[in-house]
Amino acid sequence: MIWRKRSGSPDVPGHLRSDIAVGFAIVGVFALCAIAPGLLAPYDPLQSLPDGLTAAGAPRPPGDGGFILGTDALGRDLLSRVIHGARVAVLMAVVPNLIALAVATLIALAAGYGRGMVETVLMRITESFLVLPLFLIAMAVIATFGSSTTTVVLTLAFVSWSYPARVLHGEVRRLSTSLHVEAVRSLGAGPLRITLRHILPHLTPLLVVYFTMNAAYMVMLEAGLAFLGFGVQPPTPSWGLMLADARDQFFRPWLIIVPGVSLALLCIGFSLIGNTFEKNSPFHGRRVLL
Amino acid sequence: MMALTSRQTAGRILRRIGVMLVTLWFVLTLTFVLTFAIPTDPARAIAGPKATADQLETIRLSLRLDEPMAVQYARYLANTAVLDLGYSHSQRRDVSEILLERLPYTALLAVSAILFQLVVGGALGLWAAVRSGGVLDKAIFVGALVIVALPQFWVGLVFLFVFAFKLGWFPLGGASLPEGLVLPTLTLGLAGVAWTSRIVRATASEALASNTVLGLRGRGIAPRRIVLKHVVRLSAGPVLSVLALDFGMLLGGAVLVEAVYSWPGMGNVAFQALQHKDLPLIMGSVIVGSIFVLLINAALDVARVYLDPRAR
Repeated sequence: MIWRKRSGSPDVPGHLRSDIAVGFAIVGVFALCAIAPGLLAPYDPLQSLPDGLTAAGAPRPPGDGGFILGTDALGRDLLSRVIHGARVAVLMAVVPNLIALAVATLIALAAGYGRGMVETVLMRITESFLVLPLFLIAMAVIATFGSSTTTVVLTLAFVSWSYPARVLHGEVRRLSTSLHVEAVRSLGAGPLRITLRHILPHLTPLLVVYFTMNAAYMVMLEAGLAFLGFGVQPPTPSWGLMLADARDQFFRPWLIIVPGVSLALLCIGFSLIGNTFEKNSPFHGRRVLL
Repeated sequence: MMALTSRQTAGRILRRIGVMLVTLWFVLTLTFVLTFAIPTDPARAIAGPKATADQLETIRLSLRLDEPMAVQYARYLANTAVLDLGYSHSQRRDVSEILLERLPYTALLAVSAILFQLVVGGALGLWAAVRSGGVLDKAIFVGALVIVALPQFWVGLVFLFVFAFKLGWFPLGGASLPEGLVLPTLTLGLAGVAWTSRIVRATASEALASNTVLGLRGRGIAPRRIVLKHVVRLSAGPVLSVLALDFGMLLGGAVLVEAVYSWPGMGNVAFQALQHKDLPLIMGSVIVGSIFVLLINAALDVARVYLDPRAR
């Protein structure tokens, strides 16, 4: 594994080790929020609290009345809403990501090892898909099928398999002409055995790198869709929805800042982890990841 | 100038057009499937919940929804070929008319964001490559990491709050030119600046260490000229390919940025169409958006060939 092989060796610069620690700390905190929001959140995220609004009926700024991050226009505790909102964000970072990577791996294996017509057709489709305005397509798909959580998850997977498929395909091609594959082939191994036992395991580092990088992208994509009203639906607490509600709340900037900073922090956490993995992987500098 | 007369170049152009047409066919099939796979009845969507069975039947007949799927599909493709994208029932106009009216706004925003990211990102990347290991180099590395992780529409909201609401330097939205274009361009191009500077930094340091540059220096050509003329050309190729690859994503970002700034482009139309469940208009935006992306891709390919002789 990429990080096991190199970690602790003198060629890993110190700042990279602290990078990944910070990344894991950030993602860990949000993961904790996602798993047990009820334990961490001081209030119910959906309930308008009796003292949640000022006497004039305005939301409370951070720190006012014991609300650490303030309250929103309906008098709900913002900290609790952010903590509960982590659930959607982490769900979107993980589930569609895994589906997309599974599809991408299958396509890459079929195309990269199968070669010939299979490869031409699969890669043409992948490359065509890659250049398209996928956000618009995601909007169209969600408009058609409605915005249940399942639809959003599947749509995110649908618009994000193409890039990893292309990257993995290049790697499968390289591996399938490598010596160790040639060796097992000469021992009489069939295509299924070669791809699954001798090529797939070598894709793991690339998959791990891509998973972390793509996680940030998924979180942003879902928040963007939710911001336009095509992600998860209210009353589910979601950062994108919170930002949509805060769009014209310029007199209450904390309503814009709090969910946005949560989004940015989670994405930075994932990028820090991904960057360190990528730097320590055998792919660094080969530009496979662009 | 590039010689377009050679047979190789002609073959390359034909192949590109072929790939573009296949991609377009792919998009059309997708929008067709989406339009006819919808759980709701298209006639019901147009007529509304109070329509009688007779009215629905009339609409179905006028849309020729009674014909076999294959016939509808063929007509759909034929109609799109002449840019007949159907009728928008929420705006009571032809979809192509609406989109062609809005496309220039999106194109303007996209092009100005691309120019911004190429000029600023390119300059920062070159500077970082020349002064490799310096303060700016490190600052760009960290800055790029953070900027890429920021959600674009949120950056837009923050810019709107700081520069338009607090400082009042720019309008709070709308399409007043040129001051209304500044914040949307900055928002849309910011992530691109980060990307571009990183790629230029990598390719330019490679170019600076190459034998080409060594040879030029040996001939006594001024370092400034080497960087501005030769290194720029050598690193243009990768930047333009990434730009082409990411243009679809840029357009996706434009949808959100347009919504934040009420910029009257295609993204805003798609957004409004979604609110009214106006499917022909949504599918039309997907189709026109895809055509736009494919054309820009082709244009960038030509630019790349022109700038970098090795790509010919």
